[in-house]
Amino acid sequence: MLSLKKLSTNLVRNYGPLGAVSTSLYGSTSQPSPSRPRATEPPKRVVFISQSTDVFSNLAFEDWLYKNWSFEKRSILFLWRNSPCVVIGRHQNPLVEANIPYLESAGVPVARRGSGGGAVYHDHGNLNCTFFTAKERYDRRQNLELICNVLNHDFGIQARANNRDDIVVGHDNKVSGTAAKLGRTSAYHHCTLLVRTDRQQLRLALQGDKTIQSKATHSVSSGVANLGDIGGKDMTVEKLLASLGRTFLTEQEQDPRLANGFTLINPTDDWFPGLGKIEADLRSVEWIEGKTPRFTISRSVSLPPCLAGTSASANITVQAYHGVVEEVRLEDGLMACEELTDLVLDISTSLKGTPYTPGIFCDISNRLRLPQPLHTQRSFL
Amino acid sequence: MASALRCIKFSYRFLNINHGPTQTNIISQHGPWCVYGRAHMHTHKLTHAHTPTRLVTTTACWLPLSPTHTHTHTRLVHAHTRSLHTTLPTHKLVPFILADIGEGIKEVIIKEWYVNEGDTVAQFDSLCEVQSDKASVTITSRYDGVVRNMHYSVDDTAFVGKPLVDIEVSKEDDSVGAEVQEGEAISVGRPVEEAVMESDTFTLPKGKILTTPAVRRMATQHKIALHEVVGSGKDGRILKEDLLLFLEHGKSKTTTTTKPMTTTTPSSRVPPTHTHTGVGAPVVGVPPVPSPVMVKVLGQDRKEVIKGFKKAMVKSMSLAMQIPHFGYCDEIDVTRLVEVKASLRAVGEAAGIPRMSLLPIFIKAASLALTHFPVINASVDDKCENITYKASHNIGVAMDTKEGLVVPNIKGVQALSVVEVAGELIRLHQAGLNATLTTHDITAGTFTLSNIGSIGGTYAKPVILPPEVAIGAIGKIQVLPRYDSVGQVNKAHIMQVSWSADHRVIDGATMARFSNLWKAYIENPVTMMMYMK
Repeated sequence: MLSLKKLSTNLVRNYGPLGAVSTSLYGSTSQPSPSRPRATEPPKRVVFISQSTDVFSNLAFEDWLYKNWSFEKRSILFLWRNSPCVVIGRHQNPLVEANIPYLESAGVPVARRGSGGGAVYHDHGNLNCTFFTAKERYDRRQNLELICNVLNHDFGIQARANNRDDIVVGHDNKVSGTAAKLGRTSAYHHCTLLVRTDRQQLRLALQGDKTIQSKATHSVSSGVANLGDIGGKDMTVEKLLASLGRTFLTEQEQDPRLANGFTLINPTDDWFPGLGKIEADLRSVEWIEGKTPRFTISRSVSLPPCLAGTSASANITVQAYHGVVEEVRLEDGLMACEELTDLVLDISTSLKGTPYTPGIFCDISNRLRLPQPLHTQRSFL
Repeated sequence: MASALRCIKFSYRFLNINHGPTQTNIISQHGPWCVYGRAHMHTHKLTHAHTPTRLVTTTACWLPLSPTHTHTHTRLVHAHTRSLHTTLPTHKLVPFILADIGEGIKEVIIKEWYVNEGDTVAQFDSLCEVQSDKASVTITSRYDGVVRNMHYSVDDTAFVGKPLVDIEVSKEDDSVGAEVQEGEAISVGRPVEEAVMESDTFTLPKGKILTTPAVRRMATQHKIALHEVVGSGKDGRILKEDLLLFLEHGKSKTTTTTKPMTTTTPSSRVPPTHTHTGVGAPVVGVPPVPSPVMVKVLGQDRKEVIKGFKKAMVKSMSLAMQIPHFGYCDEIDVTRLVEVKASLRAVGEAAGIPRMSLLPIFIKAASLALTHFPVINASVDDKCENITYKASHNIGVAMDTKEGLVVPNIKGVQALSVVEVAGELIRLHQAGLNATLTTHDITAGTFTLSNIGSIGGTYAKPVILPPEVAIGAIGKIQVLPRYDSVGQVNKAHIMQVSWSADHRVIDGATMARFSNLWKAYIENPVTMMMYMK
C-alpha cells in the first residue's frame, strides 16, 4: 500500500507537474524524490519473436525498439536467431576479435552491435534474448536468474550466472554471454544462449589477430558448451524459446490470457518505419569499420638490399583510427639509414587517410621496393 | 578649477535602471566592476529614456568627472563585446557530474566523445559513450550551454561522482546545481489548441508547454504568458531566444510558419468581434479591439463514439492484421478490353445495364481462375486449424459509401454470366448508396476485389477480410508506352493489380499462378470466352 506522498511523487515522475497539481488536494508536496521511484504497478510484459534470421535486420530492430518505444508501461523480451555471423561489441576491433580473412572467404558477415562487451559467434543453434526495460528497471541479474530458472525447472540443467554475468554450467563452461546498453530513458540487456551451435566454427571464426595493440574492448575467451549436449535430445532452440517466453510472461503473476503474449515480428521497414535506415547504417562501412578504436599493428617487413642497413628487415608499425590509417612509422628508427626513414615518412603521408586493410603490409613492402624519385638524388656514398 | 579630477575608488551607488533585475544581487556576487560594465551595456541598449543616474562607480583608474555631472558619461574602460542577446553576460561554469550508472559501478571508460570543446549543447543531447563492464551507456547532457573543459579523453577512466565536463550555462538557470528532474522541468505536450469560446478575445487555456525553469522565470519576470510565445526549439520547446524575440516584437506578434494558420471555422460560435491580426480592417465607428496574440485555432475537437460500420471495420481490421499477409503485384495490359469497350457497352445497354464497365469482366475472370485454384477461395478458422474450400464463388466488391468501406458480395459468380454479374453489381451499388444493404449481401463472401483504381492509385496493399484468405486491388488504367512482340513501342492501356494473401495457407507460387491465369483471361478476352463456363 503506497503512501499518499509516494503516490504523488510517482505521479510527478510519470505525468509531470500537472500530475502533482492534481494531487495537491492531498496536501502533499510535489517535490520528487531523488531516489529511484518504483512505479505504482509493474509494467506489462510482452514477448517478441523475430521471423528474420538476418543479423542486420534483427540488430536494427533491437535498435529501433530501443530508440522508438517507451518502456514505462511495458517490458519486452525479444527472442531472435541469426544465420551464421559474428557480432562484435560496440568498442571492439573486428580484426582483433574475428578471423576476417576466413569469414570473408566463407561469406559470413561481421556485424557490430550497439552494446558493449565482447565478440560472439551466432548461428541457428544459438538463441539471443534481449530484455528491454525503462532505465530505472534495468537489472541484469534478474534477467539472468530468469534464464537460469527456466534451464533448471524446464530442462533440468544446473546453470548459474557467474560474477562476469556469464551463464555457466558444470565446471565453468560458458553457455551464455551478456552485454547491455543504457540510454537516458531506456535500457536493454541482451545475452546469447548456445543450444546447438557448431563449436568448431565458433572457434575458427573468433580467432582474431592478437598481435594488434589497442585499447578496444578485448573479449575474454572461455570454454563453451552447448546446452543441447547437456539437456539431451529434447533440448532445442524452439523449446527453449517457448519456455523462456512463457516464464517471462507468467513471472509477474500476470494472467497469460491477459498478457499480450507472443508476437511474431517481421523486422522490415514496412512494419517499422525507420528500420530500413538503421539497418543500412549497421551495414555501412562507417559503422562496422569506422567505429574501431585506435589501434597499432606491427610487423616485420623485409627490406630490399639497397635499403637494408644492418638488418634485412625493419619493424613497421601502422596506426589506424576509426578504420583509417593515421600513421606508418618505423620502429628502431635509429638503426635505419636515412633513405629508409624518409621513405617510410613518404609512405606514411601517402597512406594516411586510406582505409586500413590487412594487406597493407604487402603494400608497404612493395612501396619500399619501388624506385623513388628522390632516391636518385641521394648519393650512396 | 572646472574640471576637478575626482578619483573615486571603490565607492558606488546603486543605479536606478528600471529595466532588469535589481542591482543588489549582482553587486554582491560580482562586485562593483560588474555594475559598471552593466551600466554601459544598458546605456547602449535602452532606447526609452532612462532616468539620468549618478554613476559614481569607477575602476581603479583616474576618470574625469565634473562635479555637477549627472549623466552617465563616463569613459568606458572595460569593453564588453560578448552579447548575443540583451541579457547580461554572466555565465556560470557548471561541472557536469557523472551520475551513478547503477550496479555499484564506480568507474567507466570513455569510449567516444560526441561533442568538442566549444560546442553548444542542449539538454538531453548526447555527450559521450562510456563503457562499464559490458554495458555501453550513452551520457546525455543535463543542461543547455556550451561545453568547456572536457576532463577526460577517449580511453581514459572516468569516475562516478566526479565531473565529466564543465558546461557554461547562463546565470538565470538557477536550477543548475540541483539535479533537474525531467518530470518537473519539462511538461509533456504541446499548447492545447482549444479556443475558449465564451470570451470575446481568444485566450488559449494554459496547456502543457515545453520549456525549462530558467525560461519560465524569465517569462514571469517580464510578465509574458508562455502560451502566447511560439517555441522554436525541439518539439516546440520555448527557448530564451523565443522570449526575447517575443519581447522585441511586442504583443502584436503574428504567427510564424512553424504553426499552421488559423482556419476560421464556419461555426456560429466564433464571436464576430474577434479581431485577428492581418485579417480585415476594423469596422468604422467601432473602437479597435486590442488584437490578442493569436497562436492557432482549428475549431473545436469533435469526439464521437465509434459505432456501426466504423466499429465493424475496427473489429475486422484488427482481426485482419493478425493474418500474415504477403503481397504479389502485377501489371495487366488491358488494351484489347479497352478496344472492345464500346461494343461491351452496347451489349450492356441492350441487356439493361447502363454504362457497363470492365469490373464485371474482372470479377468473372477471377471466378474462372478460382476454379483452378480452390485454395484461394477457401476460408480458415480463427486458430487456422481447419481450412474449408468453399464451393461457391461469392466475390465481394469493396464499395466506398457514406458510412465508409462496405464489402457486399455477389453470390455464386461461377454460375453467372458477365451481364448478370453487372446487374448484381448495380443492384448492390444502389443498395449501398441508399444504405439498404442486407446482411445476406454482406456476409458469406469468399474472395474480394477492390476497384480502388476508380478513385485512383496503381499499386496497393489491400488487407484481407477474415475469414477469407485473399484479396485483390485493381489500380487505375493508364495509357503507357510498351514494347510489343516485334520490339516496337506502342500505346498500351496498363492496369496494376495488387494481391494480398494469407501466407499460412497460400504460398507465393500459387498466388502467382492464379494471377497469371487471371491476367491471361483479361489480356486476351478470347481466351476467357473459350474457357467460360
